[in-house]
Formats: sequence, C-alpha cells, structure tokens
Amino acid sequence: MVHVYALVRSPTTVPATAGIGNAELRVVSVGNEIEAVVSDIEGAAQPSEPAILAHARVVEGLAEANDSVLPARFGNGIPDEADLRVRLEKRGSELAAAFARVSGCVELGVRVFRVPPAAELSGSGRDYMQRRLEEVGRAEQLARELDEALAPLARESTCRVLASGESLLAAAYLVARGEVERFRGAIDSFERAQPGLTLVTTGPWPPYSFALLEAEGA
Amino acid sequence: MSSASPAVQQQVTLIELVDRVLNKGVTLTGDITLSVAGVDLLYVGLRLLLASVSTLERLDGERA
Repeated sequence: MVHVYALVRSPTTVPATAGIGNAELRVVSVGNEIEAVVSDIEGAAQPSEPAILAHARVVEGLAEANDSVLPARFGNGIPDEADLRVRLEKRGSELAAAFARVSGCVELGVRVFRVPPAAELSGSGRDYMQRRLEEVGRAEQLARELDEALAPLARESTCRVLASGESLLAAAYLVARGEVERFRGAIDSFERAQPGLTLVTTGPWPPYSFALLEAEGA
Repeated sequence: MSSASPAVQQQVTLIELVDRVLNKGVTLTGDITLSVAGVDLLYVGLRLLLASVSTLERLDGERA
C-alpha cells in the first residue's frame, strides 16, 4: 500500500524527513503537473499518535520547502501508484483551483474559550433547551464579531460554533505569509476587547482546512 | 500575547494538529472514516486542563 502525505505542484522539493514508520519518501507524478509525496506502508496506516505526528511532520516540511502544498487527509492507504494516478488525473481542474487558492498562504487556527466555563445546565428539559439555545446564540454572535475583526485580513476563513462547556469557537484562516504578524496583532486586539474570553492561536499550519475541493463538500 | 498558559497552548496545538490531519485535507479515497478514540480522549484531557488552570487562577486571585 501507498500512504499519501500531500500533493505538490511540480517540481517538488522533498524535505530530508522520514515518513510513517521511518519509511523513505517518494514523489509520484499524477498528471496535470502535480506530484504526490508518498511512502510505502504495510497494510493501511493506523492513525496512532506517532503515525499522525509523522504525517504532520512530512506535510510541514513540504509546506516550508514549496510554494503551494495541498495536505492529504490521513487515509486508509491506496493500493498502488497506478490507482493513485487514476484517482487524481480526472480531478485536474479542481486541484488547479485548490492550488491557486492556497498559493503563498499559511493557515492559522484560532480557538475561543470561556474560562471558567459556564455553569452546568440543569433543570427541566424545557429549561435546558432554552438555555442551550441562548448559549449557542451568544456563540454565533461572537463568531460574527470574530469574523468582522479577522476575515478582512485573510484570503478565506471557516468557523465552527462549538458552544460546548468552555469551548466556544474553532476558526481557521488562510493568511498570506507576509501578513501573519499583522494577523496575530488583530487577534490580540480582539482578545483584549473581550474580557472573560481566552483566544488560543495555533500555526502557522500547512493549509489543511482550505485544501478540501469544492466538489467534495465541507 | 494570548492569556492562555503554555500548558493550554500546547494541548490546543495537539488537538488542532490531530483534527487537521484526520479531518481536513484533500481526500483521496472514499473510505476515510477512521475511528479514533484517542481524539475524544484529547478533548477530555483539554477540559480537565482548562478546569485545573481556572482553579489555579482563582486560587492565585484569592491569595493576592
């Protein structure tokens, strides 16, 4: 089986990193001037913590060494290279659009927490539903405010409303490499203006959240 | 700078990493549903950590 780490516009610069299980990385041309970075794997890769970290390290190395990289989702493995080519050859235009979208950008993650968390909901089912709706409503309002503050500085953004205990929002932003410091400044300003909230920024990440192709849905 | 403690920052980074590797990125096969009990455990770990951090902050506040 073949494990796929990422797709890269050819020619690919391969980092000096080993893959899952210390396997050697290989570049496979999959048509449309796109290359897949893969390694051989016995059976399907299990998503253990070491395997997940090895996958992430390879994608990170590729993103540092190449302009546009589409991270691959940790999958169950592809039978062989011919099968991989068949799967990707017909998706040339989708992939070209995805490469254009992430070109020159990194991803930043922002999680919004309320610490300490809201009190546990109790009471009748009706009370619970009412308070739960209010909680989700407040988180949605917060999501709109966060979007107003940060989206203008990003090429694209996504935001999930969690509203579960202390976790309120999980957002991701596609930001031009040169804009990262400015973007962090905007996050800090937003946090200072929102007492009671803690914002945790992570990244820069390779553009995992923006590599999904339109046809696949969210 | 974020007001989150380094421990929270580290834990959130791990959750964000696992979430990205398993749930985002280009899908190449149809069979991508992986059952990962570990991800849920990470979330539980974060809840405990946040709870203990907020307790510590409260205790610090009371001592001050």
